[in-house]
Amino acid sequence: MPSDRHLRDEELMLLIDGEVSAAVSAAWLAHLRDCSSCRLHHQALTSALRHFLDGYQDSVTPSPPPEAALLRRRMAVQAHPSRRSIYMVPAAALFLLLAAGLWWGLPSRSFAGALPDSRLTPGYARALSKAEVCGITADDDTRAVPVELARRVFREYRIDRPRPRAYEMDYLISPALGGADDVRNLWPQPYNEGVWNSRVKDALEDHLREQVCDGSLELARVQSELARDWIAAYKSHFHTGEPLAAHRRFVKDLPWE
Amino acid sequence: MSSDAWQLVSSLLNRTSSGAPGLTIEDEVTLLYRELHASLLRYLASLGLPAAEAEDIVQETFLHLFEHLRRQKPRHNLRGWLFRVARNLGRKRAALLRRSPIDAVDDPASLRCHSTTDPEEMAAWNRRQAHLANVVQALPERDRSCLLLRAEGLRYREIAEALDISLGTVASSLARSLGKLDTVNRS
Repeated sequence: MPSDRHLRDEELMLLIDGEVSAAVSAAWLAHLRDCSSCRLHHQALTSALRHFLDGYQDSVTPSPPPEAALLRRRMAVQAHPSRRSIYMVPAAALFLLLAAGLWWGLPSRSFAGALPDSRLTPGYARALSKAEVCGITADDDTRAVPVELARRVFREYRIDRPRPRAYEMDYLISPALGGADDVRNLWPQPYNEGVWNSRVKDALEDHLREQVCDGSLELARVQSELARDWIAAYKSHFHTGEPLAAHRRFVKDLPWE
Repeated sequence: MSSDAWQLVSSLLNRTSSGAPGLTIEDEVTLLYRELHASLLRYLASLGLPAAEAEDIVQETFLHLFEHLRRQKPRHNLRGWLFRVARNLGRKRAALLRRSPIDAVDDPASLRCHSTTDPEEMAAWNRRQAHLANVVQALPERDRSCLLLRAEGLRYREIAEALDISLGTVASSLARSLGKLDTVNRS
């Protein structure tokens, strides 16, 4: 108990905010009764705190609870390692894969990008009904991704200077299936590299949209399949382990330049 | 938030061992996300992050929490832990944005409004808010963070955890900031 000295500023704060034990609080309050200097200082700090808190609370606009659907979907992806992309393997394993790729003379980019990094691109859909999705016109479907948005996605994927015509800035859930113009729904997909490239995905999306619009498939299920693993969805819907020859040559969207 | 939900969130934040009975980890994280989302956004805004970036970081923060709980790591002081993770992610993102200024033109997350329609009252409210904001903005970053986290209702041990400082430093930082505010109020 500081009977022979004044209470320090931090002690006054601890007292004001109830951050000390009952015994210490009682002793310090007794000191305040006897010490006008500490009492005045205590009052000044209490008043300043109240003034600040009032102003702060006044400035805070109440907001409704946030929508947690996206967070829950991202947790679901994170909880199942099989759904993760190559970017999510531990660093040591990634190093080994890179080394192996170089050893075999493969360009490192060839295995990266067929699936997005699910942390950066978990997939994000607009709240559209099946009727609205099936009413989407060809213009909506093939609209270009805004340049600033595309640049942001490249930055998130640590691609500083994308080679012209090397990537399609692709939607994980395509706009024609309700996908949103959102950084969480876009990734730079190699345009013409490897067998699981953007041309194959475009063919899958057209097929799925037909199925949704003729009532064979649920829209939500299709969106979920695309967000989880579009390659697995392709294999499942076309009953094949490799892209069909016609789909490898399929050209719908142009590469990003 | 209903009182039952509030009690549940409080118990999650104060729990020291296993999770709440009957709730999955996803449910726990979702409850905490709904409760702390706005506070974290305001705190990230105070670090100078645009709204879209702050929103991204809040999501990332809760994905870290999800992983933290899945790995059965310590549950004590979860609120302080969440603000610390958000702060670390926010500072990294702010550094990235300084190197790539294109995104910095986004709307600031701190935009607020007042519900009154009386012009005089609105003008007075704006003056008070601008004055308060200027004083707070002029504080050193640690003092500003302590003050804002205190305003968001964090206890001193939570602020200490969030900012990785001692409890005594929290108290002295708050006293210093309030001393300055008191001087400004008097003048």
